[in-house]
Formats: sequence, C-alpha cells, structure tokens
Amino acid sequence: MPMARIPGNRRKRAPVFTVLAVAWAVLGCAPGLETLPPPATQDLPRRVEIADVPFFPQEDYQCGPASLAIALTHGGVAVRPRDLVGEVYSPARKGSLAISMLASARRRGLLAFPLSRLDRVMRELAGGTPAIVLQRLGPPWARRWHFAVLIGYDLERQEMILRSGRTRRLVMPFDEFAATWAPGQNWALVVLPPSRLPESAEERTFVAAVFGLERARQFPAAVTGYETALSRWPRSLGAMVGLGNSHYAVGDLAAAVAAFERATVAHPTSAVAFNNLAHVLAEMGRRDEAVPIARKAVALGGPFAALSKTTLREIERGR
Amino acid sequence: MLIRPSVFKPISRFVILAVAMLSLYPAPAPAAMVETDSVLRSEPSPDAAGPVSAERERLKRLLRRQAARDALRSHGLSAEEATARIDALSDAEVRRIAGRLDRLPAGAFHGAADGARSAALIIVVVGILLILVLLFAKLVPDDS
Repeated sequence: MPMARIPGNRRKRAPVFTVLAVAWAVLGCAPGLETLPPPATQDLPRRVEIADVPFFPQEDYQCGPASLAIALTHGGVAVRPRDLVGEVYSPARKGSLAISMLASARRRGLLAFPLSRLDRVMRELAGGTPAIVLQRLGPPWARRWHFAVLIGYDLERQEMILRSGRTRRLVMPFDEFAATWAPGQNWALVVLPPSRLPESAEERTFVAAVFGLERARQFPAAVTGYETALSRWPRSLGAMVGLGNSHYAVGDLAAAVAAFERATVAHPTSAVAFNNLAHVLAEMGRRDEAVPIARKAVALGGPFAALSKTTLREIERGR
Repeated sequence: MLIRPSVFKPISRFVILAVAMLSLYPAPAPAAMVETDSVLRSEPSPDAAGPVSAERERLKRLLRRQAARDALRSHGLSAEEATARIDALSDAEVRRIAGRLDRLPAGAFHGAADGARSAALIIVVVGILLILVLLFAKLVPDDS
C-alpha cells in the first residue's frame, strides 16, 4: 500500500513544549484512580529498569509504529518505525489500533501476549520484557490516545519508567500512569520470541497467543510456540492439536501424525484429535490405520460429528 | 450509473449471507482438519450440538471477520492489508472488536507536536483576548 502521509509531524519543537505536554497529561488525570494492589507486588524486585531497550523517537511517524518497533527490536526482530507504518497505521483514523499492533507482531513471527493487570506487566518487566501500553493523554479538551513502552518501575518511589514519544526516559508516578492507562481498559502488550514463556503465562492464554501465530500463517514460529507450551503444560490439548495443525500446514505430515497421536493418547475422548489424526494418516496413504481412528472420532461425536463422519466416509471410499 | 459506496456494505453482506446459506443445503461439509481454535474455546457455545448449529456458528464467525475487514477498509486500508490484519486475529479477538472498530481508540498522540499545537492555540487565544481588551479600553471614552 502507499505510504501514508502523516500530517503535522514535521514541526520544530522546543523542549518546553514537551514539559507542557507532560504537564497537561498530569492535569488531565482523574484523581483517585486505583494504584497497585500491594499484596500482588510483594515478591517483585523493588526496582527494575531494562536499560537496553532501544529507542526510536517518534519523529516522522506516529507512536504506534515507534512503540512497536521498540518492542519488536527488543524481541529480536530488528525493524524501524517506518517499516511498520503500513502494517499498523489506519490512515482515516490518523492513528494505530491496538489490534493492528497485535497482528503486526504476529505477522513478523513474534508472540503477542496481551495483559491487563499492572502487577503482571511488572512481572514481565522484572523478567526483562518491555510492555507496550495504551494511554490517554492530554488536557480534557484535547484528549489523545498514545502508545508508549514501559521499560521499568520503582516500587519505592512509586514510579513507572517509559520510552514515550520523543522522550527516551520518561518517569511517571504510579497514580498518573494508572489514570492514563485505565481509559484504554488497561491495554498492554508484550512481544516475545515464541520460545519464551511470559512470566505471567497461563495455559489457556499462552496457547491462545500461539494460535495467533498460526492464524498469521507463521507456522514455524507457531510450532516453536506450541512446543514451548508443551514443555510447561505437557497435557495441553490445544498445544498438541495446534502443533499437529501447524506441522500439517507446512506439509510435515509425519510430525503432524506424531503430535495428533500424542493428543489421542493424552486425551482419548477428544474427537478433534482422532479426526485430524485420521485425516493426516489417510493423506499419507496409510488408509488401514486411518479407518479405525476415523471410526473412533465418529463414535466420540461432539460438535464436529458431521465432519468426522465425512472424514470416515471419504477414507472408506478411498477418495 | 453512480452507486453510493454506503450501499456496498449491505449488499456485499447480503450476497455473502446468501452464498453461505446456499452452502448449508445439500452439499455435505468436505472432510477437513478441525482448527486449533475449536479446542481453545473455553466454553462450547450452547447451541453447537448439532451439525447445523455448528455450521451456523462457523458462518457467524465468517461474517464477523468480513465485517471487521470492511471496517478496516473504511479506515483507508487496502483490501489485502485489511485482510492480513484481520486474518492474524483469533475468532475470540474478532468477536471482542466486532462492531466497535470505529470507536476503538487509535493511538496517535504526538507528544511534543500535540503539545506545541495546544500551546500555540492557547497563545493565540490569549493574544486575541488581550487585543480585544486593549481595543475595548480604547473605545471606551476617557473621563479626562
């Protein structure tokens, strides 16, 4: 697509205006918004700052591409903000939607793991992963949405540390950060190589994040992600089926069979595992093995009963 | 003949729905792998029991995706780019943004530049006020 011309970015700016902008962000905050629940932070390091997070001042392009470039580069995919404009920017909205940021990270083979609790975000920071956050800044008469990157915090001084806009190291008090973060439903995103588990990962959320890679057709990355999931949750049905489907998508049928077989052993009542296994076996020409497995899938029924029946019929007919 | 673009969306939805409905009828679903998504859904939808409702569910998901793509295109994206962005989302994520894409926040704050713009605006407003006050003071006749 043509590069979007982003209006109004080429002005000369004086540092005093940065100060003014930050001051307005403070003024714009609704007072009394919740800070951190103290028990959740007890086992966290008191002070964290990931100093090696790169910085792309948002100059010619908007905050979305700049923040994402910072996170992707730190996650191991070196990009510049301008490489990302076409993937995250929405010209008619003159900004970037959070879902486009998520999609863009996946399209580049990195795991996009959304978070919405500050203690979890802090846990990621403590584990060395910066987090993109969506904030609402500006005075009440000129509210703006803004993406920035959290790189650290200080529990003693009650401060968050960010890469934001043209400021390489912006320190923001907890209260102020919480007030600017809440209007966007506390949206935060960490971007990781699929071989790494986020600190606060749970089976369901992590496997769902890996599935995002599969959706984005980043199959080798999805395979890595599902294997990461299985090393932590060895019985995860989602990870086994996903692993089989991702292997199948790149034509590695033997590996797909292995994954689905593992799923049928660990979850002998999963019709999905049996159906997919039968399908791949038949495709490999192993019809005699496929038939009883397809029958088993039909016998198990469930929401995909019709599909299992068709699989069985086609295998028996020998296609 | 000119057709207003706003007419396109409902028509395209109708066509998609009609084609989709047709596919519900005699042809059996082709044998296929079940997508990973189906084992990730935390709770099976209550009416996903029969093959028809499973198919209806699938259609709903397709239509939601199409609507999200349309919405992104109306934000000035090409068809390919809108498709690539929506394709990279799971069904659960598409459901979360369904019908809200035009209202979802778009991060655009430009820190210093926006600050500069606001500051310039205030200076202009204060300046105009000052001039008005001075003019007004001039217009009011002096007692002396």
